[in-house]
Amino acid sequence: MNFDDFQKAWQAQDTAAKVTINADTLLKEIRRNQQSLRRTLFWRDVREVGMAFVLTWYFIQRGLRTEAWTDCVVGLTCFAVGAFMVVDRLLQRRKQPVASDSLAAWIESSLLQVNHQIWLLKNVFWWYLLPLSAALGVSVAVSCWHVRDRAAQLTGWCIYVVICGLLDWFLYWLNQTAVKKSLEPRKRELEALRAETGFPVQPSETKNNTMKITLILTVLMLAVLALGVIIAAVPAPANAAPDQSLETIRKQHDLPALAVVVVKNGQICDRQAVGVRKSGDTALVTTNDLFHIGSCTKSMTATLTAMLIEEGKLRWDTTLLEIFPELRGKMDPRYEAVTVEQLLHHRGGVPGEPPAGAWKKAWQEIGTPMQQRREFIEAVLSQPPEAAPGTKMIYSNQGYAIVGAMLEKITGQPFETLMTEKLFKPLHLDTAGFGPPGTTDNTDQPWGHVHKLLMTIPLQLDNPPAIAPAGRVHCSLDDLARFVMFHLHANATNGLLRPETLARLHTPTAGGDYACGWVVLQRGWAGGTTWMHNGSNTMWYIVMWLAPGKDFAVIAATNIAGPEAEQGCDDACVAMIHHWLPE
Amino acid sequence: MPQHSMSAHEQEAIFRRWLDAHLGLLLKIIRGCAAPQDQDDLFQDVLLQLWSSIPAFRGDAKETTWIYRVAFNTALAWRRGEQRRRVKHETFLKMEVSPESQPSHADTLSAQEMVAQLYTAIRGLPKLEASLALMHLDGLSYQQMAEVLGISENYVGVKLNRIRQQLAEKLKGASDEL
Repeated sequence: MNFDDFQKAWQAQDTAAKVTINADTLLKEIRRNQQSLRRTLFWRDVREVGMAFVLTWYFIQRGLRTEAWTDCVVGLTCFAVGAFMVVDRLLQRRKQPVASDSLAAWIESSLLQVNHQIWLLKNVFWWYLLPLSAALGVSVAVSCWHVRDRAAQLTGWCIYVVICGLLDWFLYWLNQTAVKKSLEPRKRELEALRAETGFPVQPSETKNNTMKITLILTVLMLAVLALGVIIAAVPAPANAAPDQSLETIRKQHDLPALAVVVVKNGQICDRQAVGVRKSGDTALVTTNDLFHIGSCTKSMTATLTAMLIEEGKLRWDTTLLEIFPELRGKMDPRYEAVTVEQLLHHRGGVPGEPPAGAWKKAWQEIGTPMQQRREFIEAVLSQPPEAAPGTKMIYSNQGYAIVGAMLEKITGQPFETLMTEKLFKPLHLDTAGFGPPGTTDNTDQPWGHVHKLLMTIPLQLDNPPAIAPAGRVHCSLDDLARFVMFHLHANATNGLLRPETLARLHTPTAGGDYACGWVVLQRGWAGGTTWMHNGSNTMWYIVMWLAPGKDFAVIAATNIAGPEAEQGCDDACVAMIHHWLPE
Repeated sequence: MPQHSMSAHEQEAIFRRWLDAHLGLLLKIIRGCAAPQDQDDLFQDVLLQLWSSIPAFRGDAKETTWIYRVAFNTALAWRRGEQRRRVKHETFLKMEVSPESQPSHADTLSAQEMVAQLYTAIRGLPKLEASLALMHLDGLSYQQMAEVLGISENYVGVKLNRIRQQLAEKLKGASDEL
């Protein structure tokens, strides 16, 4: 038997006869396979490269908005890693093995590809883990530096090092396992094949060239982006110095809008507003825009009460039982002797938290605001007080809601009407109103905002009307300034309130610091006494500081709530105080 | 991969034509390169690669050379287990019992057995030699084989000498046992 016999038998075999092929099903299957392969590759790219660029966008826009250079560094690093992957993938795609090449050429290109992948994974620490960990490390280190507490600084840093170290080690291990388990056996296989074809082993020079090109292109792209960020970050030429500083504060604290008004010697001497009415919208805030004043409403409710006292409708010491005799038996008896003034000073024992059921009901807003309030305060008063009345200060929106209901009971008019007729109109607070400012779904006025999951969400919501006397007023800062001037100038109240009545509004209970809607504090810059209050309906924040000794006041407001809002408004007030009270 | 514009219709037409004309050749390669239980999977992969390669095919390359290259490259890159994740929706391929154990009537038995033993022998060869053996048995010229594999004709000659000896020895041993 010789080879020719083999060949004859071989060529005589009818292989195809034993096979039936359904060409249509086959084509369908092939197309499906090809699509699934493409989809897999596409989603791998989206996952890896897309993630890098989403992070780039997130950190750079955050960095630019808050002027935090560390965020920009993290963003640029994400971009560099993403760019490296893109450039590498594009260069490698051109050199992919082609199935129709000769076997030798195909082995050669497959080997290059495997070698390149091994190189990438072996060096994953240098081009992926180290840059990202280092950039994040810088960011964390700077954040820690800003924390005043040494122990907290150290703890923060240690947590970062441990988490980052473990994560890096895990990713590195994963990559090296892939090299050992899958890439190196493949490489050995291909090398054995190449040896079979009888070709000498060539040094892979092209690979080094590719690496150089990849690195150069990455650095170039990085340079272009860095330049863009620098150009965007360099501030525009200053027009007015104070305005710029307010904008800086706004950016620093990532607030949608920030506004201030300053009162000195009986008139408004400065008003500024920066930022946007609604996050994600282009409409800018103006100095005439309306802000929600939250609990700064309390001093207005107290002032209205004082006016009705002067009218003789009630006394400072009028008790709850006097006003609501019909609630005898329903009301906890300990509330019966609580006075109006105690309620205004938060000393009526009224709980700080509303009863859950009544609070839920209040949000449903069934009936007129007056009915809602009445129902709400009846529920509050039917529960035991949090402390014995008169013994302790408990900050309570419920207490002010009760005051509002008392005024309604005496006059028979809704609190909102009383406030408008007796306070807003005589003081010319023409923009003052209740609830969220502006028309629904319109940016004719600023919106409130909340921070959720790294996002700033604009909202047009407010507290329920039941607690309107504690915090549901909105108005322009100019109008709030007019109200503040009314309090600063005992002799210029146009007969609306007698000086001694006004003084009583500013006088806390002995031993305390809360007067009627005002916190009374001593401050050096004010040359002594200040009256202040802040307010927030959880979507806005405002703070007002009055320095009667200097005939000065400053109000700062923003359309978002939270620690950043509070710090931003404080910073704005400090900047104004420095500017207008230089000594 | 260089691609010139080609409609899906054209691609399909070429694929159907190749399948008609070269199915036997493809099946021989599959049988020579993979164990019986893997042949179905490998065949699917080869067909997929062949389909994808069509847009790059130009008239200047010889059809059979092209098909040999794609099939060999795929068979050499193919490894068991990688395809495990693939879900087979439909089977388009029905392979009858492999010729190794195919019973038949007496006068063709020796030829059939010889072919079956050849396949077994080829699968036992190193991969490059297996591909050379397959092409050689199909009667390709040295030049064609050199072209498919990208090696010199001389080297093809050297290799084939050894392959012929090896095959003869293996088959002789097998027939001695009978």
